[in-house]
Amino acid sequence: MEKSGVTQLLVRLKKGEKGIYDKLYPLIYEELRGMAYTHMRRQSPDHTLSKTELVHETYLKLIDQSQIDFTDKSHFLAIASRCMRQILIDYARKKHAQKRGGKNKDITFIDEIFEKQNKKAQELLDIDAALRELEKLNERLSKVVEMRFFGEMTIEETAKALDISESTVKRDWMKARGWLYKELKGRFEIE
Amino acid sequence: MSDINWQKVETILDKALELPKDQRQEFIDEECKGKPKLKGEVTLLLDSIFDSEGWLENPEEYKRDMYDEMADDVQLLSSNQSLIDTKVGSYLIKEKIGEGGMGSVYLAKHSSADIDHKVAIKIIRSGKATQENIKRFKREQQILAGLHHPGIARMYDAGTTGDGSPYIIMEYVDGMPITDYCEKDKCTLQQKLELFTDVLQAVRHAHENLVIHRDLKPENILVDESGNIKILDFGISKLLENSDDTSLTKTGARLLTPRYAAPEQVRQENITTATDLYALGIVFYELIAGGHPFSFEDFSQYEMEQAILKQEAVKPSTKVAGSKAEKQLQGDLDAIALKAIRKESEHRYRMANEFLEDLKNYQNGIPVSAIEDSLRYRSQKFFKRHKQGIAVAAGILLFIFGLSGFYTWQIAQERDVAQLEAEKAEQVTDFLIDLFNQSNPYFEEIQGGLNAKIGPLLEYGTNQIDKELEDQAEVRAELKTVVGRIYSELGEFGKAETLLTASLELKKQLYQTRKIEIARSMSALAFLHQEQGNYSSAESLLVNSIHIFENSQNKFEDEEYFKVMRRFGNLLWFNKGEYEKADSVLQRTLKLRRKYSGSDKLGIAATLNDLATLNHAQGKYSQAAPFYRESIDIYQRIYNEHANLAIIMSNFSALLREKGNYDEAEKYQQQALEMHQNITGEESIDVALGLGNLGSIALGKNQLEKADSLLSEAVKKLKIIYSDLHPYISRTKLNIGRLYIKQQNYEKAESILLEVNNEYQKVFPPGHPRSSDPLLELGTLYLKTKKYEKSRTYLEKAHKIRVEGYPKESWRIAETMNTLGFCLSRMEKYQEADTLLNNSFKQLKNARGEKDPVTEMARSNLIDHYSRWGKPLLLEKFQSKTE
Repeated sequence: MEKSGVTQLLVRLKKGEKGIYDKLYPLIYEELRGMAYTHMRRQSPDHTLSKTELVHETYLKLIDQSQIDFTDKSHFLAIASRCMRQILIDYARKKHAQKRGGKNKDITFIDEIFEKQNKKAQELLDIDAALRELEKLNERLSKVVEMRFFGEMTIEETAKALDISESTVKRDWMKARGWLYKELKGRFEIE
Repeated sequence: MSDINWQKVETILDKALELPKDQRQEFIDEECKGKPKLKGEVTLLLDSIFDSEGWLENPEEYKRDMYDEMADDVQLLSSNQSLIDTKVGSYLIKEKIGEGGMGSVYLAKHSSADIDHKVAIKIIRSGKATQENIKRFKREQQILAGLHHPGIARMYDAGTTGDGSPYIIMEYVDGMPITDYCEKDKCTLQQKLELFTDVLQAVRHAHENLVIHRDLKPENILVDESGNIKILDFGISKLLENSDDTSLTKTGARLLTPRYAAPEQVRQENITTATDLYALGIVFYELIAGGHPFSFEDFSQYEMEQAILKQEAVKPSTKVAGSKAEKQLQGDLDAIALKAIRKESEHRYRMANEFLEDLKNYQNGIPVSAIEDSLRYRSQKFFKRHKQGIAVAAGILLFIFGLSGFYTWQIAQERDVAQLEAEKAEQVTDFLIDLFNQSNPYFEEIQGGLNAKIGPLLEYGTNQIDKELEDQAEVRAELKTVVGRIYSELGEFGKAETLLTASLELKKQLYQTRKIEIARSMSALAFLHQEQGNYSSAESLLVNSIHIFENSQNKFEDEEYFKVMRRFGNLLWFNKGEYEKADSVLQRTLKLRRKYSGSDKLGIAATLNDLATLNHAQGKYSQAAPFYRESIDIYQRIYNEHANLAIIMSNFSALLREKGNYDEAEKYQQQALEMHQNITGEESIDVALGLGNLGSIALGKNQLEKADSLLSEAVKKLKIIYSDLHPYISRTKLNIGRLYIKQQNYEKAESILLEVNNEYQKVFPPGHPRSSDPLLELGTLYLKTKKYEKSRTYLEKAHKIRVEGYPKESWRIAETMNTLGFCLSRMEKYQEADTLLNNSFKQLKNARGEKDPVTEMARSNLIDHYSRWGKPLLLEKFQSKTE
């Protein structure tokens, strides 16, 4: 998909055209996923992540910024955040299922040392499940977490995307975080 | 939650969050008046908000690992085959033989055609090859390369490939997992035990070299075609650990399919040799019972972990119920298998040797330790459920053990009563087993009752004694003692007293002609009172008991007489601080023993050791030394090696060290250590302590490097044996602190001493005199760094503890007094300092003599003091004495 194509979709989304979200979502998802797989390939043993977060990088790649205002960007990032959540959770789930179902192969201590991501995978799955519960209580709280945590969006961006004040974002974030913490406490170590 | 309106919760919370902190609770109280549930939820959430501050702020941490793994997947796909025919070290990779989460295993051959050597090479996919890691990798690898045992697959080399992936070159083993092997070959029980014995021996070797496997499972325990076992991957997990991830080093990461993980691994606690033995226990269980003790089928991760932590395994014989094997497993093998997989590591086999010993005993038809433990374990479990706890169980068991020792002795001494005594012992034990058994018809009732803890059970027991044993007065007398003992452990002193007195009365009726029996019962009662801290009554019982003995005819041939005397003597000084009286009792015992039980040299040696420790404890070194020497001498004439001998020798070595006679101290300690090594092998507490003692001696000799390595070695060994805090570990670390002070490495000294001080407060009860030791060292440290105010605070604390804890004239009090005086002198509080320094010097001279390192130090402190104060005359007085 051309850069301009995605930008156009985003503009049409803003106008409230129906069905656009469903078109936009898979595009962003694919792009993001591809980036996660290829961009992160280890170049050196000490490799570190590039400073730009993937969600934002996707934005830079897919959107012609000259045609877009800050609110549009926030909407894009919100969708991308959702994609990000989806990608990570899908991956964690797949990974988890592999370990679980892997036919009677014991993955024990040694393997685990090299796969501590599996621990993180489990944590992510737990967070995701709790978020879905939170969504039932107050959808906005869950969205704030999705954007702030999975999408690494700023408070300002989150406020714009949800059309609420920044102080509300801050408070929502606190409440959501507290609630998740309460639900997940004891499940794994929280620093 | 469902019955609480979330919106309401949020509304209150929103408002509360806008209020200043100190007004929030009041606001919530007001809003939730009469709605405790709502209030609970709001408060909990508010707390969680503050507890979770900072959490989830770092999403990249979550993502990074996932990205890494995604990238790995990509890399793996592209590089899967590419390693074939590449060279690693001097080996050429031939084919891939395995694939695990950590990387792949390849079969490789030596690259020169004329060397026919196959190896297995493990290439770690996602290891991080930082400088630090490579260094550690090398260091660990050297240790592992030193593991030479036919049952352990050799590690030849390790390093990092060109692109930075760590690799390990290992012995290539062509075999199958031990469980599969036994199944395929239809091994008999005997064959399985033999194979497993080999496994244990290999593991013992590794443990002796301080290498823990941490990932033992059948896939790592292979049997080759000729039936030899080979354990793979020993120590690899440690090798591969990430050094900068301390949580891993300490605990090992969480497990995914923890079929062989010990509870402490699930809880992410310290891993010790007992952890390996647990995994072996599971393998052992699988071998003999044909299946895993816990049925993990369809269990979630959480359920599995819970099973490991809480579920009690059924006996292996129950697993095979109905088959031929059932009978074979019942009893010893059941007990051994269950002991090996106890939840609490302290109840397991802690060392491979113990496990081996039990298997050997089983094969030779000798009682196995696990059976005895099983009774202990069951009763402990029982008491745990009833909250009164371990102390009670421990007390009972101590008592049973005491009894059995008593009977064993009697059986050896008096053939004619042996039969009766054996019967008594057996019935006592049976009675107890019955009491603790859940099949006891009263058990439910006991458990069900509200306030019923253990009372009804004991009452039931008491009644049974009189009802069922009416015609067996002798057994009755014994059992009353036993139950009386239990009561006293429960703090029911009245009931205890009743039973014990009844028992004593019964004996008085029964044994009119054999008053000695009564004396024995009194001595047991005295022991009880001694334990309860009722020293004067214990004393009078012992005195009465001694009287009976004195009036009996063959008293001097009765070992129990001397035992009572010994107990009396030791009670006097150990519990009552009456050193002089104790001295005369023990001296008399010694004299009589020399005269009458001349053939029982070991009895004499024991009494000599009592006298030696009595004098040693008082700092009377010159009196203590000859007793030690003679005691050692006697032992040496009878035994080349003996655990008691080694202990006496190291006591003596401690005395020599305290006197500053380091060379001789070293000689004795060295010998004692070698003895312990021969008796127990490398992995024992005594060996660790011996190394620590040698370290202190080296410290005294100012051989600082040697001290460093000995003390570190001791700590390392102790930490493997004790997973938790332990006074031995802390004490050794305290010496490391002293070492740092000597090395003038004050920063390190401070940090370790503060740590030790913390530990001492946890391992000793408040006010325990030993807890002053790290305080004194901290005070000394701050003296050296000229932080006098701080120094003074610590020294005053230390001194106070010693004044309250040691006898008045003890040199230990003088020691802190002197250091405190020195500190005050440096603070130019000369008058105050003067008194302390002079008094402590006098006390030290009296207690330790003039020629003594501590007294010498006190003298030089006085000299320093007077020269600073500007008192040349007084200065001269002390200087002249030095010459």
